[in-house]
Amino acid sequence: MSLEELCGLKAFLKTTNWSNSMRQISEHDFQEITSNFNNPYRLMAPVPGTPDLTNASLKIDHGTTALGFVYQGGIVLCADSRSSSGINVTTQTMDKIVPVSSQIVGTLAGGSADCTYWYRVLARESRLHELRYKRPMSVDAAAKMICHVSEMHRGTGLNMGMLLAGYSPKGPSLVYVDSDGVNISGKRFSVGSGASNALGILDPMYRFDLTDEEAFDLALQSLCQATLCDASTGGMVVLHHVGPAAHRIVRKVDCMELHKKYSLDARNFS
Amino acid sequence: MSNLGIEQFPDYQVPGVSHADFSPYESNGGSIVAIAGEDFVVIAADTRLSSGYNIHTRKQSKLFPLSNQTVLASTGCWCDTLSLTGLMKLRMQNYEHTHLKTMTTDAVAQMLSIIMYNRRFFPYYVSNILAGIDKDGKGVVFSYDPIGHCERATYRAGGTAGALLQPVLDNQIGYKNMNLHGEDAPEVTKERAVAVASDTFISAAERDIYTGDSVLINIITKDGIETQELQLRQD
Repeated sequence: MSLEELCGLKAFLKTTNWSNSMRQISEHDFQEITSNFNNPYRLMAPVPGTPDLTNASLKIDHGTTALGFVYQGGIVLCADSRSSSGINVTTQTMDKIVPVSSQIVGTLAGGSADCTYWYRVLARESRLHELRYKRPMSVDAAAKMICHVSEMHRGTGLNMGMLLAGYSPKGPSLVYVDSDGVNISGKRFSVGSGASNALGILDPMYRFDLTDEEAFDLALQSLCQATLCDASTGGMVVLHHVGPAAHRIVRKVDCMELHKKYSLDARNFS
Repeated sequence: MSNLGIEQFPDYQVPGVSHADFSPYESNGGSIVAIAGEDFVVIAADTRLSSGYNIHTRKQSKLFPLSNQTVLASTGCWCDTLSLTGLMKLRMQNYEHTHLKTMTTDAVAQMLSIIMYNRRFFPYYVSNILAGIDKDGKGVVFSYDPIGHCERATYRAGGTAGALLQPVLDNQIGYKNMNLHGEDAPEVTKERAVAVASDTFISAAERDIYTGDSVLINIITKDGIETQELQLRQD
């Protein structure tokens, strides 16, 4: 008895009795159908030819507007929280700004599953990078990794648009990467279906020497415009600030409140 | 490059090669609803399995208990549901034998997401909702899209009548846009969750041809899973 306990066999004997009716799957098949557990890059191959999806009306979740810009006080990232599949809103509370590592924050737009999966892989890579090289992964390196993923899966319908923001000793950096393999570093970007609406406000009002408050206000106002004009943008608006030391959530506000605020501002102005 | 999995990709659009089209998917219908409370979670699914205008069976459970704290409900293409849930059970058994403990609901949720994303380019055509008690003893619901996007929620409807049922839950459980703040919104009790879940199915059976016959309701608490059944319209 004591030997059993020492070996942990007692716990083993208590494990669930699984039904025997389960299909017999060989060890090799089992490894094959869960191949991305051992190697996250190894997804199951697409089927040859084009499977007819008309019966399935396969609808996957899509995320929407995100914007980011660099100013004198750091980097601002702002995103909505609506995720929709076809004409249905799946959720109004999705987190579209995710911390990848202690240094990097990213936004996601496009297919939610694509983005969340590859962000998870990126987070793993950046942690391994920290352990291997004793320094944090740079934003450019992270963007390059996503870019490689995009190139690997070119033509397979992968759909993602990402903004990666972070600080290195050289200063702030903001990079745009997407599933076409585009990889651009720049000062201001907007991604997703409401991107052009947001840029309509962001572009003419942007200056590098904005104060913190002005920068936050500009980001919120641009995103507010996108929630008004783009059907698949809405829900909560989340604003992140990325500074040299840390990143923080500045505001999380329902876009209806922003609508009220900015429409009131416009009335006072005219 | 072999570890990048490139060698398994076939060449696309090779001239002179034509592939026969095939339709691998079928919608077998069915709806699911899950509502989480402070220390319990209620998950319900109807028992009709159909294809086109034919009903295959009137008593097929779509709830798959994975442990005594976690239940997976799955509808869509039934063969995909079977292979996915079979695989889930296998992986959980594997985990149990390796680590000598049962997977927590949160871990199952993440694993399901990864298993589904493995088939990114030939997805499981399923609508999944996972319900269970999390590591803090709270009730949780995780909902999925067909390629494995996972979101934690407190209530969710899925399946063919998902778009029909979700607004009812938003109103009755979520109290959306009623200007209730903080404590004003009443907490969901177990009885109310079961009542609302039953009502949504009664309504769905009225308007969705793929939902009907009966509803199986599982109530998960820290003590285990309790099952109830409710008859619906059979037409």
